[in-house]
Amino acid sequence: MIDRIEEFIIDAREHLGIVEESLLALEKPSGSVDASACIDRCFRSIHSIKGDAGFLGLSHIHELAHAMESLLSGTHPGNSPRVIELLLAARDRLAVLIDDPGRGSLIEISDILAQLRTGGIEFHRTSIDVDLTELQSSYPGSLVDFIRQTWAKGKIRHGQIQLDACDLRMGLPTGAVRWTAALETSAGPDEFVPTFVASATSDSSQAILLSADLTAWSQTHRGLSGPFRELASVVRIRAGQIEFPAVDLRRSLPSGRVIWSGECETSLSPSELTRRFGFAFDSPKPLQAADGGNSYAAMESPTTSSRQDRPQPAADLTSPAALPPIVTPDKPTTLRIQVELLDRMMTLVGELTLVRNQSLLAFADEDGAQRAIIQRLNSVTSELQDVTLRSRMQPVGILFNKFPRMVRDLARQLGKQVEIDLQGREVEMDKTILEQLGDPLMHLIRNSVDHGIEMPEERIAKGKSGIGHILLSATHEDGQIQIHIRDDGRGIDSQAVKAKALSLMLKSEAELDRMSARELFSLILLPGFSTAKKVTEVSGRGVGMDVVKTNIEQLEGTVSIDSTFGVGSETVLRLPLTLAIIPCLIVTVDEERFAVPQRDLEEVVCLHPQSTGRIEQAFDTEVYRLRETLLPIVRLSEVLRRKRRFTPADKSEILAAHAADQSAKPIEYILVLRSSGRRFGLLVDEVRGTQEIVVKPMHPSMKRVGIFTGATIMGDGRVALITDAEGISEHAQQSFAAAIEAATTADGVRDASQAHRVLLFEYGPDEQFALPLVQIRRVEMITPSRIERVGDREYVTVDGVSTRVLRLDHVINASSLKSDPPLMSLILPKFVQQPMGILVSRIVDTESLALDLQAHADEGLGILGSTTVRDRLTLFLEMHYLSERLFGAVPVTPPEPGESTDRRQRLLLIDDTAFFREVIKRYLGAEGYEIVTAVQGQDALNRLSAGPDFDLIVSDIEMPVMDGWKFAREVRRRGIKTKMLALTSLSGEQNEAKAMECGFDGYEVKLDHDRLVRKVRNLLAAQEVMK
Amino acid sequence: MKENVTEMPRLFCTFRLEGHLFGVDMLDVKEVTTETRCTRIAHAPDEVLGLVNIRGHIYLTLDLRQLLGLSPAVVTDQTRLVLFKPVVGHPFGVLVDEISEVHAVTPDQIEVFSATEHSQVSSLLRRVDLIAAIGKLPEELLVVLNPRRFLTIVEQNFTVSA
Repeated sequence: MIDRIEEFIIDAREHLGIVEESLLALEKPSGSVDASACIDRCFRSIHSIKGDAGFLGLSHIHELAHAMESLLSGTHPGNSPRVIELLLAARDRLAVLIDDPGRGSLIEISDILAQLRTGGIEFHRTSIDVDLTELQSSYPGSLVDFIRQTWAKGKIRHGQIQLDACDLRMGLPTGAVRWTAALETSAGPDEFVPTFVASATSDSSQAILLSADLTAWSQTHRGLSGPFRELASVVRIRAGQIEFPAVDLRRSLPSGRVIWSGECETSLSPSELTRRFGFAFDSPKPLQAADGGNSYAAMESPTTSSRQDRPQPAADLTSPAALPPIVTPDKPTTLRIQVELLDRMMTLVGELTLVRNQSLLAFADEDGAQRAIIQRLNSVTSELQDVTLRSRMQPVGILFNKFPRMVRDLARQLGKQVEIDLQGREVEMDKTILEQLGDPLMHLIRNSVDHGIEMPEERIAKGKSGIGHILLSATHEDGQIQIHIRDDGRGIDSQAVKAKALSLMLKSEAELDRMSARELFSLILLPGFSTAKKVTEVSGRGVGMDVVKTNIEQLEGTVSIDSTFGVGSETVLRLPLTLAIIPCLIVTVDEERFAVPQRDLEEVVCLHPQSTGRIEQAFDTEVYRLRETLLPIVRLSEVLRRKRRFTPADKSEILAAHAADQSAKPIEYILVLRSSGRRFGLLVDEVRGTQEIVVKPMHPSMKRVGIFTGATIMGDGRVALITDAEGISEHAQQSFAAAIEAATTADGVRDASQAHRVLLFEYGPDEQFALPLVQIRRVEMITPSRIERVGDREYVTVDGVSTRVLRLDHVINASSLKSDPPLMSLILPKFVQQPMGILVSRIVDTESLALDLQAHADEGLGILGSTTVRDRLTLFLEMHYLSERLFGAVPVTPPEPGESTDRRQRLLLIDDTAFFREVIKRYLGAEGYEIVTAVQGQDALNRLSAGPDFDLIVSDIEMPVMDGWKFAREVRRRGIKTKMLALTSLSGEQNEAKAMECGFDGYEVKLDHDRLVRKVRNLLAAQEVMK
Repeated sequence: MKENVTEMPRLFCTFRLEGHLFGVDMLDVKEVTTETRCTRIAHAPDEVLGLVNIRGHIYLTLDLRQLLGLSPAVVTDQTRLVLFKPVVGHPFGVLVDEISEVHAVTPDQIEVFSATEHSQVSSLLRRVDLIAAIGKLPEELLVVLNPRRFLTIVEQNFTVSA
């Protein structure tokens, strides 16, 4: 019984959907739809609900459905909106009852029943059911009078005369002759009740004429007693008859078709009977000879009149030969399956796929018979997988069908006229996705009605039709489902979007100008954007588009918006067909395999040593220049290695480690991933290929591991983890904005306390040396065997370039190596005139240090100074000196101190980093200039105003308190004409241009000794000329 | 042949860790396998060895030694993976040094674990909260563990390390 009720609920819900749909269709302007067909469809569904409910003893549902049916049967095509409104309300109530049929009797329905009875319609309906034989004796006038009188009161519908079957040869029927009819009348029902009270009945049963081919039937039902018993349990068989071709029974039993026909009284609908028993049934007719053809039309019950719409093979019972060759039962083509069972099936197919993959691998090299079997297994499995996936598919119409009602109600509420058009309802998609798609779709459609479609008068003023249109369509493209929501409303004002983006400081004006319309509209999907009231009013897009986006992205889909201001807008959702099996890229890091879902993947970049692209460092992160844009890089190996979310210390450690380790890996791959609209590059060792994998959820105890979404079993039987782009980006604590900003403009004020990274290394056994990373191009691992000797010079070929090897003990006062260790490193410095490398026995580490140097005895002889790192005295090397010594350049002689020999030229040097200050001071001091230093712009201004004029100002750009840009502007504002040279560790044409704009006369990269010295000389010369 | 129910011996699946005898209720054990090829899960606590595929099903593998506070497991020929039934928790198993026999232990041989009384056990293991009882076998002590606590401890260790 429970099962039956469950089944009933599912059935009834479907019927309710049809009821709603047809009622809404009736509201459409007449002529656009076949109204009577709509009424019929609606009626059939209500009738089915009623029939089933009656059978299951759900009296409330039965009663309500009956009332609806009664009201509907009097409904004319193109009739009053009130009736439809009422029927919709009744439908909703019916839906409530059906949701919980067990407790349906507790829900009050008398109000709606009363409304339905008296309701909407201009006529009352009264059912007449009277025994004419009886009436004849009791009614004062003649029967004809009675009928005429009744007729005068209203319109008789569905009149029917019933009389008991009997052998007409024995005379006319003698039993009761019942006349049943519905009377549409404006008179109150009370007027009639007394007349017919005796026979008032609520029997909703109807007579159905059944016929069945017993031969066929007994075959399909294995015997006849079963079906007949069952039939008897649901219907009352009034008359039965068996017909078979006349044969000579003395010879054999009849061999032809045996037709049983019977007249049954039942509350079940004919279609229900057909479904259950495999009958072909005929439209109910008056009992065989009752009143011939005359009453035929009047006898048409509403239920069956609809049947006439369909061509129905006329079953002429009197001539069995005319029957269709086989009385085919309406074979059910669909079957309900529990979702649980489907899920289980899906899992099993997943497992089978794995077994298939394993056997493919295991028998890859086999020949002959096995190979054929495996290939067969392969194709069968693929097909099975496909079919199983499809079994989870449901038509998107299930979802779409609820929107017409929503749109209608919402439009009325807002005083708008909106029509929604549904297309592609038959397109199928995975049940899970379908279920979760409801909310976002609802949101988008509501937006369209609420904000998109204008008020009727506004529309007409704009020259549009007063009725707004929304098109909701689903299409199947490239293994994806596309859902379009298009409206012809006011569209989105791109200017308003721009203004909003500017006010939220999301993008600069220039960036916004460069953006395509589609990119611009995608800003609406950002959290916090659409919630702004202003945009809602101006652009016509409402609250919470970010929620839509999040929901769709959870389904692995995408959202895009397009719009023409004033004309309308369109939102396109792209969704996968299924989530259970996904295509992945299989990659490895440190020999571990990972599956990266292709939906996260935009492209793959191969980092080949010979290729020009390489990973650079910007601010606190590594970046890769991918066609003009900077892609922040996350190293999967580092993410895997570090359990905790990256701290700034982690980041600088990673930067340091990889700055020194450019050559360790010959080929790497950058997977360009997308997560929450941001892009980043995931660095992996190797790409193994793509594979369709079966997703297994992550073990619940491992849910806290945020960088994986699940696991899968690979062909070799090992488990591989599926990466989560979002989780990885989160774990790496990427500060995209900061990275990009720092890399694209040099305007970012660097934190003064930020330490500088240095590389620590050893050559001889005694000393530890250090070089700032900014001075190092890269570090190459070499074996001593790679060192070639030319006389007393040593060379190593790096990237095809013969590179001079510098041994520290040859050029400075340092301990020597007794013998070369088997593996050495070569530090390749930046800013050197000729290729050279410092040979190092051991790279100790990288360290972040505040570069405060103490004086050292060998200062000026290749050593800048010393500091203590990790309890060890560490010597800072002076690159310029080392290279000069190595290449045997003439020791720098103090140059001509300029034209005016009376005084040394005075230079103001501004840099916030003691180390750089020291290095540059030394470089320039060696040229014979007098150097005055300042630590930042403000400090420098004080010095400018305090002392005598300087001949040249050399300034760093990134400084605390007052940076180089501001300082330069201020200097020029004060009318100081002294030449100024900008020094920075960041290069780029943009910066150079900006430097000129701020008032600098030159722009140089720090620590390039020769260029710096040359530039200073030139500027000083120019200064002289000016004077 | 009437037997008092309380006198029925309990069956324990026993195994060795660092030579000591441990056991879990036989009814909790699904199977014992030689499969030890785990896929490491980065960021998981140390006692999580990773994921293993047992005939198409993925099990989480724990290093019971580390879970109990012993030194990490070293996989040898004797190493086995003890898989638990779903009633114990979401699919998981523990790696043990060596599998021993199924011991029938009568109720009178079983006593409640007490840190003071079983000092040799409590000095060996850091996590005594995983001990369900002590079985006094004639030749040695059987430390009966409660596998239902294993995953809870792992989840707790996440919080600790986070």
